[in-house]
Amino acid sequence: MKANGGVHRLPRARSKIQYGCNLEQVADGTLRSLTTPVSRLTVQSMLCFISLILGFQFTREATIFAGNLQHGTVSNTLSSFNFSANIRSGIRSNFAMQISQTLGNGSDVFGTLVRSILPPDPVVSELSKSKKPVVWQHEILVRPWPHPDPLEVMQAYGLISRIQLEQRQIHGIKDWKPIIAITPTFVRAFQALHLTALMHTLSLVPGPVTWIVIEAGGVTNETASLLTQAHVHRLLHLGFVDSITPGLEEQPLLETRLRIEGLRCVQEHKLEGIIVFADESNVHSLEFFNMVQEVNWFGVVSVGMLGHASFGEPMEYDIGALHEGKNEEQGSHQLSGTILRFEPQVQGPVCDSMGKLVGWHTFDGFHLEDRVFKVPDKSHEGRLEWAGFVLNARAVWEAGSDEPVWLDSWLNWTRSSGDKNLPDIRSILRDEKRVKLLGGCGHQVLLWWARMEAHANISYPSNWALDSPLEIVIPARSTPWTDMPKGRPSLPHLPTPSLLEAVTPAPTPSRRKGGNRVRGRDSKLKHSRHRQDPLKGKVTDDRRNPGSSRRS
Amino acid sequence: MVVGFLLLLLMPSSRSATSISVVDRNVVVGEMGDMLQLRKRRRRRRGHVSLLTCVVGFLFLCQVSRLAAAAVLHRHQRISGSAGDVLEDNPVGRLKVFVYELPSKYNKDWLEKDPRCLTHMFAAEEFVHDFLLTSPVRTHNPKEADWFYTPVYTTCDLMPNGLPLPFKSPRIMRSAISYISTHWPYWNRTEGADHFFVVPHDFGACFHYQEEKAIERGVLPLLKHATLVQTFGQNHHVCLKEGSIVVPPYAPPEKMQSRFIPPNTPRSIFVYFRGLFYDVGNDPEGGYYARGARAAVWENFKDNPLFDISTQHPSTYYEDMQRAIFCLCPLGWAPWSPRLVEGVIFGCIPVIIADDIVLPFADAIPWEKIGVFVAEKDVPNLDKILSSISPEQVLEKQRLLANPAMKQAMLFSQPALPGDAFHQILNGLARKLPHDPHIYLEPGQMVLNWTEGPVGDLKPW
Repeated sequence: MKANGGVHRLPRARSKIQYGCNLEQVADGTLRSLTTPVSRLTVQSMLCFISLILGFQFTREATIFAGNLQHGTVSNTLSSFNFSANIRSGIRSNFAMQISQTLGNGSDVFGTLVRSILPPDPVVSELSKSKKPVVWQHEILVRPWPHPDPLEVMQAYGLISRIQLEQRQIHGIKDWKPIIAITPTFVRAFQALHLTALMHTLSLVPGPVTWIVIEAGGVTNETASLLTQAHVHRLLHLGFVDSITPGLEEQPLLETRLRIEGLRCVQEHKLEGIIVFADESNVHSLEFFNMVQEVNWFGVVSVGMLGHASFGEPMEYDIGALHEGKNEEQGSHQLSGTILRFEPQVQGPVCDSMGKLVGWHTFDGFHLEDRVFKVPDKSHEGRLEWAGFVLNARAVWEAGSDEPVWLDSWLNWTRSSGDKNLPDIRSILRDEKRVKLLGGCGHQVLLWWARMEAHANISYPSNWALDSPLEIVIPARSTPWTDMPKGRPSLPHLPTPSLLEAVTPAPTPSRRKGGNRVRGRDSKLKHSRHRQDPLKGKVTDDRRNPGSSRRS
Repeated sequence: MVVGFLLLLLMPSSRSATSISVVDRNVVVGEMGDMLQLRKRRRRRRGHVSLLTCVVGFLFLCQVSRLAAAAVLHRHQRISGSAGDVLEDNPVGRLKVFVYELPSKYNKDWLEKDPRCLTHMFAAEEFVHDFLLTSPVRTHNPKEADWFYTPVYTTCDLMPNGLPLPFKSPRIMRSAISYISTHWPYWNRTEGADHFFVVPHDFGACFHYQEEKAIERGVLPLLKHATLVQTFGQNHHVCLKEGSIVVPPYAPPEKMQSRFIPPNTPRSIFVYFRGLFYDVGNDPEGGYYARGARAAVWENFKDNPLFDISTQHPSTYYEDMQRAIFCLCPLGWAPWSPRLVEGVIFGCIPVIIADDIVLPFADAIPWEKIGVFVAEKDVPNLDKILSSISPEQVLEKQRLLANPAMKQAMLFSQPALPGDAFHQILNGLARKLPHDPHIYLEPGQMVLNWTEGPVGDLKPW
């Protein structure tokens, strides 16, 4: 489409720009053709466009210059005056180099136009030839007090916890089912040790936990005071009528009855969730609580039964056969011996290659040294610890409609076993093969059972609070310095030596239900009196010679 | 959306729509206009009805896709950089690359001499060559090629300790260029403007490991018009030519992907860094290495419990990175480092302490949204800066990092997978098409000065 009038002028003007002529020539050429309005319009628009481009180029360089002033980059900076001691004039050369680079970067038409308009920078040509260094030694910036600020540390930890919460929400388990932990307990020396540990474990479970503590011999203040620190969703502290008898052979039976009492409580209150039999001496890893979330009705886990090592049948072996290919010269020399095979200390399910349950591996952890436990009788053989089983709380509710067929009703299986026999938890199952095998058929052991109990006769202060001062077994050593004030420093809590003489420590019977025998302290008193003599001797020495500076 | 609308409109006319580029869209509009004019009177009503159903169907699809995206959104987010949503573009069909066949003294012989070239962080040049030889973008007909690739391994001359010597590299490059200019006419046609070279060394085509000497040398004069694919990127620096494609350094993908830990492991380390703070061998006084930035990090934060920084390189380095929230990526002798790649793969937010750095594929990946940039002069306040980032921002960055397209784009995966670093290089080259017609010189016209540069470079190799 050809237009009249200024057609021949358009290509001429364009070709002029193409070969990089300057503005003056263009202006001259167009001034002659300003008569027609069309040509005027085209010339004006072209000039406008040229000035627009020039303006952008100029502002671009101006902003680069300003930006370098602000940020202080390697290639330039005037602000680096503040930091580095040795400023070489490399800065100027860098800036000049930068200008020449931006100028040289235009392969477009208007870049060449600009270059031809502006006079060549004498600085550029001069300094680009000089070899001024472009890297220099920077100062290592250290703030005046280079130590962590506590407020910032707290903020950072807040950030970390928020991120971990998000991680749990994205990758963690959805729909956390509440955990119901059933713990039988009774008052004894090791109770504080076990209950405190279990309490901390349950407090760390990332979800609601209902803790049912059943105490043999009724609710006591001692246990209650231990449980005050528990951070669980709900705590039920129940008392059971029967108390622990001294003979520990019957303890497992009583424990089972306590657990059944706990289950009755679950039924009564219609608690929802997953029932875990958390014996107070058991140690759970937090991964265990993640694993049991997969239970539908009845689940089985592997339990590490840590007791004394149990040895299996001794087995004969042949060393010569083992080193068959190695010692050919000594082929005739054959050794033989017996090795003792250790049984793995685990109670758990045994599966076949298809992943189906075929049996149970038990480990009798009661084979401990006679120092602590008596060897139990045969009734304990083949017994499975309740800790390895996990069930849905609905299984112990009153026979409802949604219970699966292969679970017996609660009343039936608790009544089926007599008083003397231990009710096995497996009797709740009509079909053992329907259980859910957690942790890949129990390949992961996330739960440990270890019974550590003190002798029944051991005495300990009730509530682990000392009413009266302890007896000295090792006397405190005094300093040999002579400028110490005479007389022992008397702190308000510790009794002074004079008091020690006066007070004759009397045997204090520890009061506690369950009838632990009280041990006389006469033997201890004699022992301590011998030890106290040198002490008394020192004191009397001082009394006799108040001014003496002798110190032993 | 407009494109999709047009697509649906023309479906009854059974027009196959593969990739809609600008050219195709114009053609489509033109055809639509013709169609409507022809059938206007007869099928006006029918057209209206079908139009309505198409619009309704399209809106419905829009909603569904938006809901689906929202469901996935909380896990990771789409990444779109300054060039648009181009991270997942497929370069096949958009460009053609011709691979020159150079004598083996330029490439294979170096590999045979030292196979360490395939595992160090400059191995990109070897893997790009391998990839292009079997890629669908390769053409054996140079007349239809858009880009020409010269497989010359300039970073394969290794010292006994494994670091590459750059002293022969300019001569090797010059020798390769003179070879292709004498055996094929395509170099002289454009003086290299439609050729690209992979130069992954410390300062790219400046071919020196010391910054001062690299700046002095500048980019090799013969490569003035060519496109350079390099790892070095710094704004307003002589060694970053305009139009270069910045790529990440090579990091072995299998080694990293075999060391993933479960994603629910809580991230408990706030800031993690393993590496040198002082380079006592080369910079005994301090102040030159990393421009003093790494030393400043050590001096300010060596006793800060939030900063797990040390020079000991543990065997659980990759696992530790997955347990960290921020990973420092400060500059060393050169501003780039493989830590950026490692941080992205393991979901650790990179804290980049390198002024004016140009990060890989900067037009496809919006690095400001993904990483934290700290100026070198602000290093003493690093703990304040990092702890004052709001949790929402940090979670946003983690979501962007979790995008598999992002992780894929940083890797030179073997074999090549869609969206990986090879494809991003090709996408970058495709975005530079079509070539400016002014690059094609008149026959006999020479722009490059073959005798330019230091005298030592002019010796033939």
